Amino acid sequence: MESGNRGVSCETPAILTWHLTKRYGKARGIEDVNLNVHEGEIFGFIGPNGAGKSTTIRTLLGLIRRTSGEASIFGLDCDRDRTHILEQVGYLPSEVFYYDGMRARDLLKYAASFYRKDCSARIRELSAKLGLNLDQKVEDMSLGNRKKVGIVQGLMHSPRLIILDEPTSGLDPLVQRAFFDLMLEENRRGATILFSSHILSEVQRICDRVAIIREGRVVAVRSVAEMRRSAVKRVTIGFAESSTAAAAAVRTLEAMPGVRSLNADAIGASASAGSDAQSSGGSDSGSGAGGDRIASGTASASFLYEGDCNALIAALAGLDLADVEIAEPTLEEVFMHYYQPDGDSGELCALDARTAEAQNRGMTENRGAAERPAR
Amino acid sequence: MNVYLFELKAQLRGFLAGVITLIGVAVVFLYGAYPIYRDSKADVQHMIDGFPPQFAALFGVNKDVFSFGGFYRFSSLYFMLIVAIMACGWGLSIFGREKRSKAVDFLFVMPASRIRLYAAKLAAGLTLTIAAGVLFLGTVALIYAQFGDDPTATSIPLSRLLLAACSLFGIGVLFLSFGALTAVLLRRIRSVSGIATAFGVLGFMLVSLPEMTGEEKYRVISPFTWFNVSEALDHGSYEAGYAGLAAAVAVLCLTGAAAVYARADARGL
Repeated sequence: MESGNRGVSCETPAILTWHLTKRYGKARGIEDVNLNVHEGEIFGFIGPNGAGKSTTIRTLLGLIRRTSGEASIFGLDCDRDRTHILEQVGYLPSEVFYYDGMRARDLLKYAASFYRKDCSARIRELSAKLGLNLDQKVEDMSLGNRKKVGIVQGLMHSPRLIILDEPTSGLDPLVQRAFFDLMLEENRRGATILFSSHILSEVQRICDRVAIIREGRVVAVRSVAEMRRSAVKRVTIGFAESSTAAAAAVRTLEAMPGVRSLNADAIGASASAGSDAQSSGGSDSGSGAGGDRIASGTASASFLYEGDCNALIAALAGLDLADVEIAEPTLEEVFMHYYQPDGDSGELCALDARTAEAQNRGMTENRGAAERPAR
Repeated sequence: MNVYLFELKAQLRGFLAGVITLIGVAVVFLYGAYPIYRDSKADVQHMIDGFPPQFAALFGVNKDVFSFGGFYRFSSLYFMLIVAIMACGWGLSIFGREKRSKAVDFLFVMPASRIRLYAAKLAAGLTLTIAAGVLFLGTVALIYAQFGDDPTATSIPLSRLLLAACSLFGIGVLFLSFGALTAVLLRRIRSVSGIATAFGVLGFMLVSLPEMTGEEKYRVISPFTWFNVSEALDHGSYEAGYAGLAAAVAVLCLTGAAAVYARADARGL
């Protein structure tokens, strides 16, 4: 699916945060989050559960107060100019809750009464697109239908910025598709979209750039095109015949560029390839224990691969395999792949540091270009 | 305006239930029980004379009971109790509505300042309290008129009776503010009626503290006694100090609630 409006404005950023920090007492919220979302782009915000995505979003929306740092939307301060900001923002939370006993129609009418424009036509149009029955009571609705009410509520005032916090949970594939189409349509209209998710594929599907957040910190901001070029795959292969074939395959893969985190199950000790574990030699050292199982035809190996897919296929074609599976890695695997802790300090690897640094430089430049919100 | 009307509409059922209870009890007490009481003046007088003074005081009974105003003095504690529970419940319900239905995010991402939202909710709560008070005053005046030709009943004039009944406005606003503050402070409001009843009953029980101990100083912690119905009936005024205390406490609670409402983090679900 094509991304929508790719015309990125050089004007005031849609979202700008500078060392944005939120702590809940001693508990971690977010630390030094620096984001710069351009107007007109679809910006993904990805990280595992509890990484700080929702905290960042809730701070931007003024639902919670920042501990330190700065946050602005369209150049307006997220705390001081909250009301003006919210007129231009549509928000879809991960879980949608409304007042009991209200029909969707009444609820949306109530929500619309806060905006200085007539939203009734837009409510009808969006409801029709999503197949939402406005006369049903919200409490009687399924999770998916409640979410549809949330979508209508978030878009009915044609916001300039749409903030989506894990929006697809509870939506069936058909509605998800309609939802993504709707988002792209909104983006073509000129809306900026901040799309938070823990599902890499759906972020890659529509976003221009992606910020990766882990343990409260933004560890990287990358363009989706760049991520696609360096798409990481989880490859799992099975061996049917001999232990020698399996051991030979593992040795071949170990030597192959782009292969990391190689685990050879049932061959013996797990063999790790790549820069961090080149010397493991797992296939040899563990062959005794795993040999019986290989003989019984249960050996398998899995690894992460980043690089040219043709090279991978060519390498696999030369192996005697019983089974092969090439899948998208889990988010955690992506993190492990890109952001291996540094051996000495436990800090993120050089790539991560470079990315964060580059991002900060960008922030500084943008802060200079954009009108900094007046204190 | 939208939030104000929304809250009024949402609270309509609770309002009607409260007001019907209040007026129902007023009719039963003042219209139903009063004539029986008045007619058994001699017997009751004889019975009260047999009570120890503290015991009689516990029930709010004194020798003025045979006039309509005097009987109101006796009944007023129960009206106060009903209004206290009712208003506290409205405060809890109005200011805790979003917390109870987990719709905090919904309201707080609307383009309206939290202070504006708070003010609209407070206005709705005050409207309900005042409306209930006005309806009660009207009921009392109507019932009083039924005994207009009875000199025993009308020995205390209507104006003083209405002034005494105005204590319910004070109690209403005070307990509305208790409810509002509680609602914004509590993380989760499990039972509006439970908390409201606890506040009301506590207020009711604290009335007997200064009366039973004879210690005037305990009135400071007994909100029902801040609005001295006897003073209103006998002298046509309230005690300025206690009325001031009530106003200060209400303002303090409402200001505190506003500050918390405007500043507090809307916690995730």
